[in-house]
Amino acid sequence: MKVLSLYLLNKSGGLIYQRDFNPESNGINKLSSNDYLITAGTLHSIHAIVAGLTPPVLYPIQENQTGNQNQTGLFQVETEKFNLFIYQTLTGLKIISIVQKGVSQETATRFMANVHSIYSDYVMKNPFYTLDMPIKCQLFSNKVLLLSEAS
Amino acid sequence: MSRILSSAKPIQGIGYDPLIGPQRVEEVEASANNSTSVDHVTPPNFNYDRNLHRMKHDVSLSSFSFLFCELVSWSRERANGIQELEKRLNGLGYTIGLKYLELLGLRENYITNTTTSKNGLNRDIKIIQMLEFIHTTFWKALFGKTADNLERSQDNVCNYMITDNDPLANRYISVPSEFQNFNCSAFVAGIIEGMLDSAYFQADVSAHTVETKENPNRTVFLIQFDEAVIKREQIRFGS
Repeated sequence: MKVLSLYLLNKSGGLIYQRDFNPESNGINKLSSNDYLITAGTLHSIHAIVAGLTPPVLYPIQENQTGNQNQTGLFQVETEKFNLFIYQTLTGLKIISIVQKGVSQETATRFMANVHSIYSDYVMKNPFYTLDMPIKCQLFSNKVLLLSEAS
Repeated sequence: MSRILSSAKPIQGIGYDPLIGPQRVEEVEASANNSTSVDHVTPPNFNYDRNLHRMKHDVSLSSFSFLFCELVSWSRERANGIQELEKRLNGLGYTIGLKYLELLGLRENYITNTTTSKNGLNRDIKIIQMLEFIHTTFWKALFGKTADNLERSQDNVCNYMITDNDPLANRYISVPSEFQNFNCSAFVAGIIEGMLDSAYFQADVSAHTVETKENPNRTVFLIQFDEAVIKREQIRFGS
């Protein structure tokens, strides 16, 4: 599978990590850093609105659930050239990945679950990281790159 | 040894026996007074109930990482500058090292006593023996592997270096660029320093990142012995 881009959003919708993979042969345009922030905030808002639209009766809250918590919110955006998937963790962290057309939802979810596990190792256990702030951890970036190449 | 501990019937009035470990004294009297037999529940797996001399002393890597992470940020809040932060971490490790040598000696002695017929470990009095003890035994006890390299400095006779390609303390920590030259393994360096000091090898130990392409976290522990230690070694062993 080919991951084109990865976004990490904190629980209030701020962009804390953004990365495009192999940008030369990518097929996805680079935006200005301000546009990335706006994209992140917009997706976060739509996610919240969609979650608000869903009647709660249809989706009773499941207990002891780990993994993807994105039950009622915006889940997927499809375009002509790529798909965008949203994954939410128990603490409200959103992992958004833009993948090539034809990549199944399971594969993308597995990729984002792996990103989540790397995040909890290399960001949460780093004493130099302040919660909800942009991620500037070299080891995290290295691991994410390795993961995107492997999957 | 562990069989004794896990036996359902507690031994009364023994207290702590260093060869067996802590004994759990249960309410035997209650069952003795009762005519009906009471089923003894095997003691729960508390750390205090377990034998001090068990072979495995495992700690979850995650809990260690989170604790160490807090340790570093706690020290960072209280330190002005990188030098002081390093010193604080070093100091925290130092107190552990002082005590850890004692414990490690006891444990190693026990293991060698039970597995071979030798009369246990001797105390290391040569520098090189002591360093090998740190390089293999100590490293194995703390990190589950031996250190990757032990060498003597070419420039200074007092300096020795122990290299670890992937130190456990640094595994999840990426140091930001404004903290250049800072290495969280200063804590481990402090432990080594404490151990050497309590073994009467006065030394300064510091941790330095010397990264290679494969191992971005590769750390060199620089051990600078006091000149008196080197002199003593020369007088004793004429080397």
